[in-house]
Amino acid sequence: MIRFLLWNLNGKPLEKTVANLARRHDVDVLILVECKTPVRKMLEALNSGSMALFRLPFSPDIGRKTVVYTRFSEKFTKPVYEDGDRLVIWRLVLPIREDILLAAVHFRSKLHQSDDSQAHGCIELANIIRRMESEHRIDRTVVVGDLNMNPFEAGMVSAVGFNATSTRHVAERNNRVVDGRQYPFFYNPMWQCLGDRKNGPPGTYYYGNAEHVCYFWNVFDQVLIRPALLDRFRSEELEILTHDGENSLVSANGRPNHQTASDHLPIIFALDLEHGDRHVGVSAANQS
Amino acid sequence: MSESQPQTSHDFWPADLAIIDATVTPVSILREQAAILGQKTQGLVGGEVVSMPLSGSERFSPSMKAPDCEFKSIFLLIVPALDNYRYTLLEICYPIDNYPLLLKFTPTGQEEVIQSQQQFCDELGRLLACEKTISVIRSLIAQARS
Repeated sequence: MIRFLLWNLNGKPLEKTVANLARRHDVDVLILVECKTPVRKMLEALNSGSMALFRLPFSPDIGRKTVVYTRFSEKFTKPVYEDGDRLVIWRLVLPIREDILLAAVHFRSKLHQSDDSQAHGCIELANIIRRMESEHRIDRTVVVGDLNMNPFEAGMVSAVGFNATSTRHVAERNNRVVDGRQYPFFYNPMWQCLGDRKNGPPGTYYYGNAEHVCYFWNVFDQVLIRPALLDRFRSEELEILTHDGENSLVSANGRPNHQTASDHLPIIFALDLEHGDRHVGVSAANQS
Repeated sequence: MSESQPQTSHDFWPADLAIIDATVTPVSILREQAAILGQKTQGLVGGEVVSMPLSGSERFSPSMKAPDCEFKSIFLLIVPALDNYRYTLLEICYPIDNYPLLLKFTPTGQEEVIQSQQQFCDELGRLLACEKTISVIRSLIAQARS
């Protein structure tokens, strides 16, 4: 099982909290958005007392704020596409596990563009992802990041956008046809994290103002799964985290504590890539 | 107030509390097997057991067959020659008194509820010796040597 953790750090020096979360949840892949912590400092915090060390798969460009640390050797993480901080895609080629494409996204804030502009931006991102899947002949893709949109917004659900549906049942159809063109689905499990529920906070980001339309709680931080990975995705492991084991990430009112942590809450999820016969006995790394 | 307090202190604990054998737990059994694996493969593939508290959604998931579980431990295969590459072989979810526990064999996704230490040892022995486990370890050894 591979565990992923996504967190928008809001530019804060939260390496100790990140390390606590990584240890507490035995994380394999860390996707950090708006991360300004120097790589050396982050690795020192992550690797104190750990046997399986975290690494930065590639040297980051100066100024990059979306950073992915993994517990895998560089030889198992192949770069596929990079577009600054907005979209980075890797292929994880892990021995005796199924390969996946991992797309890390940080979409522009609603402070800087309208909902319509965001929706149009999604069309381009979704096109790039589909093109990379086609070029690399893989349909096992995970999109993860701060999308700065809620799961129900047009860019997320539009066929020409991410085409991300709220249920496994619909996603199992693999794709849908609109005006004669076929568009592949994503499954978006973050729909289940909207509003009050038995376990976990009502979203990952809180913003309240005196406009007529205000959602207060938002789920901007999301994971999208292609149908080919549905049976690998463990719904029970998806969680919005509110504690790092030492300190709370939320204030007394339950909202993200942006004073001591970030204005976003982290999410964690897991993929069971071990499950299955396809790659057992075959050197996945040697196939590429 | 002091009149209502007992004049002598009472010890309600059993006399042999300190010598009750609490050292054999599912986790200690897994750790023992992890150590043995490294010896048997000349260090090419080792084992490690990582434990963590179960998250809220996992504890209350309707799919969970052992609903009172509070902790999870993972048995990882570690390959030092592949920069400590990790592969999850087994998972157990268990309550504070260890049983019943949920045992998951990740290469097949097979899950089973285990009621006792004896059943755990029997099932663990079967899984560690099964064809799938051997196939996984041989593949990792081949990768380590390549």
